[in-house]
Amino acid sequence: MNKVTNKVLKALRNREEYAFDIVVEEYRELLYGIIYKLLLNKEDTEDVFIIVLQKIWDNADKIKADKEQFKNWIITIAYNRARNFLRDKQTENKVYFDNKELMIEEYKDANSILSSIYLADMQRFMSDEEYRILIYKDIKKMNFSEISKIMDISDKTVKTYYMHAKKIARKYFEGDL
Amino acid sequence: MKVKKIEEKIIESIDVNEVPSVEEIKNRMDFSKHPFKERETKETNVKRKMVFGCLVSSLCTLIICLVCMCVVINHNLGNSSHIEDVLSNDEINTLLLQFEDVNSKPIFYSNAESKYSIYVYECYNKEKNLKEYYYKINFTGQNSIKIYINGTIKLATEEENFGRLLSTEHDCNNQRIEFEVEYKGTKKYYCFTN
Repeated sequence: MNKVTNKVLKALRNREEYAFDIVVEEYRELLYGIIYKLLLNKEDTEDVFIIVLQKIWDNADKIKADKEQFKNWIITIAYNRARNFLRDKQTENKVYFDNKELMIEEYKDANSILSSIYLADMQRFMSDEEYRILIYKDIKKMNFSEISKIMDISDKTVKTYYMHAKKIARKYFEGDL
Repeated sequence: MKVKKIEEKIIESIDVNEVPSVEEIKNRMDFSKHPFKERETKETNVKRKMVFGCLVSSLCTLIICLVCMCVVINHNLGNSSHIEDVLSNDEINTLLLQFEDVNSKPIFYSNAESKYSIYVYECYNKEKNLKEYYYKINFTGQNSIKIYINGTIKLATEEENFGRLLSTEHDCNNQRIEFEVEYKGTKKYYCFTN
């Protein structure tokens, strides 16, 4: 399978078909997965998935020939489109995954987006408080003091929940859950 | 959290068979606003370079042909300058003193294969209001004889010896010249054809 390289991205910018094929083949599963994690519905996911790819193609002339930047860009588009779709459906930004509320926040970078999606999957293994604190601390980069004010609990309690959430995350990564 | 692991987890959590293929995606997308462009492959690149190369090569050939034509034309015209060289500057000046107009292009010259070469120059005598002719004969291997219209024969050497021009017949139309010259008691007849 051909890989996405800076040269391929330049060709995509030039709207060459072979470059489009390579890029779509490489990233389709990831983009589909991100969208599905938020929408949890196959039909909606497919619709938004095509919208995302259409947006990428229509703005191909703005592509920079940098693989990392390009990947961040397409992940952000996928996430934001899915988020907008949810908003338009008036779900009040609330999505439930295994009966746990999924926080659909506005993120500006791909790492935060991916982490938040990942966390949404991990959520079933931790309490609501642990999940929210993990989001506030690791994704939103808030300190314990700020989190304790938002959640109206003590600093010490915040730290306890956070440590426990990190343990679960470690186990999740290691495949022990 | 390692991003790579997160990506893998996201993909693992979906049924990849559900993800549309590239062809299915292209069938559902709209390419009317931004159609695909032809890939510049090595082949198209080579073709483009070949066409460019042919054009440059044709242009060079054309330029060379034009230059050659100019050289040939110039050479043909230059024959006159070559012929003009047959008349030395002194001779030209002498003629100019005698005549108003000296056509330095010969109106007659003999075949190059002949042992002799003769050049006939047309001059205009203002006094007589006549066209007259200046003849210059070179004999290969022999002294050059220059015959002037006034019948004076002068050898190319420094020795000033004069012969006598007995008669001349000059037929430019038939490209023929005849001379009879008497030199040191000897008569000689010359006939030149072009």
